[in-house]
Amino acid sequence: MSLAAVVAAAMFVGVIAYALLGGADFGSGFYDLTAGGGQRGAELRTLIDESIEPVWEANHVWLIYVLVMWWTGFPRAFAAATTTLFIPLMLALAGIVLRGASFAFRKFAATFGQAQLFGAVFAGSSLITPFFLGTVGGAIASGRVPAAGYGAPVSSWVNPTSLAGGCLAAATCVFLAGVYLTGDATRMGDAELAARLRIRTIVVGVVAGLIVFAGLYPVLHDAPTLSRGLLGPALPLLVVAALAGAVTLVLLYRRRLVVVIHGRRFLLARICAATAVTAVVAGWGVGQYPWMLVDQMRIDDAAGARTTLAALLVVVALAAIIVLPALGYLLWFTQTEKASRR
Amino acid sequence: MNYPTGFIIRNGVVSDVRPWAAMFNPLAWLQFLHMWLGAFMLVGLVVSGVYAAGMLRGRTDAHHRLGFFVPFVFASVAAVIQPVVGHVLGLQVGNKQHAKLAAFELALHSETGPAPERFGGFLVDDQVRWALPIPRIGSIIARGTFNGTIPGLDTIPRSDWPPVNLTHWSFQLMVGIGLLIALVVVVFWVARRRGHDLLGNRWFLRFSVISGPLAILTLELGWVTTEIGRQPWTVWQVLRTVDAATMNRAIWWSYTGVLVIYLGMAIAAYVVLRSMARRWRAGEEDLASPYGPAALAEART
Repeated sequence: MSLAAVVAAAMFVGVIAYALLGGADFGSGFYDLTAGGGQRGAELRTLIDESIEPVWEANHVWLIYVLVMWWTGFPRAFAAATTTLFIPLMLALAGIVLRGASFAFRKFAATFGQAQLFGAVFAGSSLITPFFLGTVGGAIASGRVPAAGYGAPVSSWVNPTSLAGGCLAAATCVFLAGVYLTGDATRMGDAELAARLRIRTIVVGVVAGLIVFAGLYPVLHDAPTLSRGLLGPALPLLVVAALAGAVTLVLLYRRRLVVVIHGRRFLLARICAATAVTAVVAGWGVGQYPWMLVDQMRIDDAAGARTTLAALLVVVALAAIIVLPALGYLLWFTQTEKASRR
Repeated sequence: MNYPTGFIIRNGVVSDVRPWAAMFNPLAWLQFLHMWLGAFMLVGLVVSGVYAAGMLRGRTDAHHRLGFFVPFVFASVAAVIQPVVGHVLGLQVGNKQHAKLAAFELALHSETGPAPERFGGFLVDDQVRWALPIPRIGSIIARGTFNGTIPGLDTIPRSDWPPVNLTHWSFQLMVGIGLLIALVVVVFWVARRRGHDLLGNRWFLRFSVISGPLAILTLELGWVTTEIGRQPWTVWQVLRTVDAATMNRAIWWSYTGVLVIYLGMAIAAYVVLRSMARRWRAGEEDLASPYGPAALAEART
């Protein structure tokens, strides 16, 4: 494995972390949107508030990490992708900005009407952001980002692989959020809310699974290089993803969200769902290795100077020491604090 | 970008990259310190200004005094050190980027010292108009010596001139407002030491209220000074801005989109913050979410 590949792997860890942590935040928009009218949706919206609030926007550190690693370590690939895919990237950015702001505005809006407006913006932009990021992934994976940049501004991301990628990203986020929120509601002892969320999450999980397999069909025809990788080295990961996803659905169906081992409670369903998503995203990464821009630019060709790559690894190590303990503590703290509040 | 280091350009290709040398270039620490102090001034003055506004409306309790003092102490320290740091940074920039220095000083021709300092004024048709020149001090301010020569714009090819008037005015306004803030801060603490509490002075409180927005303006002027003053370069004498910019013609669409979105969010933030202040004044200290069970139960009864 070359130095460039190690840096690319470190960058991809950020992509997975963003999918797992940011994805759950984005996905909660779906449940917010479909929570029902004011009276019916009050409890669910309050649960979403409480789940997102403590880590509000903190999960975007992963997006920032990925982007900085990308433009510092692989500037040629970054320039090619951003000059080609500026439309979906700008739309995803607009979604990120709008959802963060309107989430905060909604909580303190003066009237119910204002809260509804901000809530709709929050929920809608939560869903479009993963969709557009997914189309970006699809464009890169199907070889539509030319090495010289300035590729087709529209058809680069409006094509079968990109649309499958967008739908898959959005569905994955919604599924993750559903499992997380059901876990939160269960732990808080709100059985009625947990039951409502449970059914929705099962439906979403089935739909997400269908999208994955239905999406494979256009991808096989549209992106030959990626398909070879997906059905070759990445196949074990896809099998793991399918199994973990199925186990999550079974656990949800049988209401076995939590298992107790040696007196400690583990959110088994959550772990399974996270495993499934990790395997899907990692499958994409392994599937397109050694390409950074499929069919156009290999990781080694996209890499910047060796000294810069080495410096980046130093920065990654520093970030792991400085940021990870604090972020881990934040996530742990919000879970225990929420559990003890009720 | 002001002091590109840590690489060599060989046959038009960047090589021998030393990322740490590029990051910790000789100007990095001073520029960091300048911006760091500016940030402390800005936040300190904005926050203390909020409490000053409260005191102007007669809320002169211990809470407001403490709320004023804590941020104001930080801002005071930063405001007094800032002119010194800015001056040293200016000397360094002047040694390196002659075009920027010439634009700061509105120096059309090289002036062998002692050179004057020009306050205000514009460059119109290659003539300096309406400036107020004070003899000799230009050398001291810009070069740190009594006889320092200030290089003129005539030593620089016209294609390498920055927008002179914008650079000159943003620089002098930044320095002027920064010095004014430093002066007021010093007056406040000297007066306090002599037993005069300026928190009882309405004119001081009024200045405190506007010093927050002034600090924001000064910080932005500083960025305009250094970034516009470096034009037409994005990376000084390495990469021109026209070469750095995207070739995409849709850039205006994205600018417009960004403007519209941020305008909308600014309006929304204003509406929400105003309503929060109104409800707080009405005695609601714990603001419940309007769609929460509590609020809806109340609405039903």
